[in-house]
Amino acid sequence: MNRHFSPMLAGPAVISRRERAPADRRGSQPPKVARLRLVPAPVAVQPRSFVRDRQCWAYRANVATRVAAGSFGAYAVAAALGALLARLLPMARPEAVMTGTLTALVIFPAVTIWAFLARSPGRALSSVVTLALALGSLALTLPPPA
Amino acid sequence: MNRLHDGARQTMAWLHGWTGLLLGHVLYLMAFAGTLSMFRPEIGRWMRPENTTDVDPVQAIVAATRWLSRNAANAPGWYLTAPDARANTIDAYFTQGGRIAYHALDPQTGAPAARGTLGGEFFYRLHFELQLPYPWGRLLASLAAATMLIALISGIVAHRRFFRDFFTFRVGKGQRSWLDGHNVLGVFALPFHLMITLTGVLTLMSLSMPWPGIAGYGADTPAMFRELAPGGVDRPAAGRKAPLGPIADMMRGAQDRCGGAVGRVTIINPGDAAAIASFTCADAAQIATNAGTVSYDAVSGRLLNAWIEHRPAITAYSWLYGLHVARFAPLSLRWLYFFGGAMLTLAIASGLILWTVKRRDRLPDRANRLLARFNAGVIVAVPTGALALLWTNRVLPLAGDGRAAAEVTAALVTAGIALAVVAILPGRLRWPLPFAVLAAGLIVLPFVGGWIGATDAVLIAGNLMLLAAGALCGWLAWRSARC
Repeated sequence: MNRHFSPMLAGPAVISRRERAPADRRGSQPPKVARLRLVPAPVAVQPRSFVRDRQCWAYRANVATRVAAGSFGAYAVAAALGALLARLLPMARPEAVMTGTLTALVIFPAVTIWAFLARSPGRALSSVVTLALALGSLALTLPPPA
Repeated sequence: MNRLHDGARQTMAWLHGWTGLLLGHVLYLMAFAGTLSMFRPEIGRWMRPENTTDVDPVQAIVAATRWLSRNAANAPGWYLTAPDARANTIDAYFTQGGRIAYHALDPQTGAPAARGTLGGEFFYRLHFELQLPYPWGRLLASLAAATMLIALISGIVAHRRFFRDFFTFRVGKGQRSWLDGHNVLGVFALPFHLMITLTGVLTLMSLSMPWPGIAGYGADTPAMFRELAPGGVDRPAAGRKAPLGPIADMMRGAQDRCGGAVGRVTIINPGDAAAIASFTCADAAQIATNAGTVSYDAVSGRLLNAWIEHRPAITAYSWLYGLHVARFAPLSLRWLYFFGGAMLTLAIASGLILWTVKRRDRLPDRANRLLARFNAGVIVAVPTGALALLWTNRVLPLAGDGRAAAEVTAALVTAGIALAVVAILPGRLRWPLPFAVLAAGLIVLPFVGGWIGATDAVLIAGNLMLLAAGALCGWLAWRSARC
């Protein structure tokens, strides 16, 4: 057992409280991070989720899926929404294009952040892909503005 | 439940760490160069101390076009920026020997300035092109800016105590001090950091987000640029030679239409009977860039097109773009931009260090130690390279064709050497030695080349800045040498 992971098995509630302890009593005592290692790890306690184990393939797949959804997926959603607005908005053509571009700028980081906060990685990826496909195909069905 | 962490805040802290590390070194370079770019014309003045006179911008442009007509007649276009209260040379881009090249033209003779150097233009280009060929440098810069936007937003969410951290700095407590320093630097200028990152992503969006444009215009990109900036004129060369007409009258006419100064001056197809002269209203007059464009037939001086920008979405874009490049900013605001940028640069550097310090005790593995070395190398190499550029500028003889390129080569080579040396230095010397070298270089530089007695205010201010930066590096060397 890696000594880094032994406190992890003590259960997340314990960990987070101990990690927060120095910050909550700020200034009164030196940081207690070092004490973390002294916590005896209860042998029988299982992690609440497989995600706790950072070396586990499932955790890595979780992160990789969210990274894909938050990077390529978020870009695709932003690009599709920008393209849709460029065709949909009842404005002069350069104005619609610029509004679409500016909207994409705001949407991109929002989707990225959401991809990492979504309930599950599958949900993050499927939502982002569905959204991008829906917006993109809608944009393709519309004629370009005059 | 397959969330990454128990709380959203923890996930955001984790995301902040990884997005910050991912392109953190590129972002450090961009923040450093961008901060210096706030004083692009002033750095140019410091690096060309022979050019001291202020000249009327109209006369300067006339002199430049006269020289270019004799020496760059075959170029498809001349792209000039008129001097103003800050710059005393003409920034000129034109094709020479098959490549587009930058020259700072003397406002009296119109010929390239005596001291061949890129000046502040080097830092400006470095900020978003990273010395890489088009479009890769700009794409990498876009990507870095986008990750920075994510790092900023996740950092804000992860952060709980803005007000308290604003006043919290526990010195000499290892990881805690780095965290406090990183927080103070990040929180103090947070609105600036957000603004500059968001608008920074925006400046390259024509490259990084072409899809709205493609949806609107398809493959007809020229039509898009025509409609986005409708003040220009699109016409092919006639193939007959004709001299340039009264450029001074055209420029004064453009000044009247702009209601003030003119910034960029573009001559398309110079020397041809169908030549065009386009004048863009100066960016210094309002926050938005490209406030208007006036185009003339460059031979007859006849007005062909004039456009003052009032469309809301385009103006919003130009306004955000203008917030980033800050050409509107008066001197006091410019200094605020400078200090905001400096804090951002230091926040990135301290974040990179914090990453390794945090893991030093918990995960003392080889990768972490290597990263600590690489961090130190990059953090030192960037200012060292910049210092080498300034030193070469003072030391190299004036004559010689490749002078500007030699300065850049010296900067890159020195940065590379600094990176390698600092990365292999033993831990005790890793910070004190390079900071001591930087301090010595910065403090001696103002006395090199005999310009210390110059009375030009920009030269004096530049020298004082070098001395102040030298003092700061000296203090850092002393501070990091103390056990």
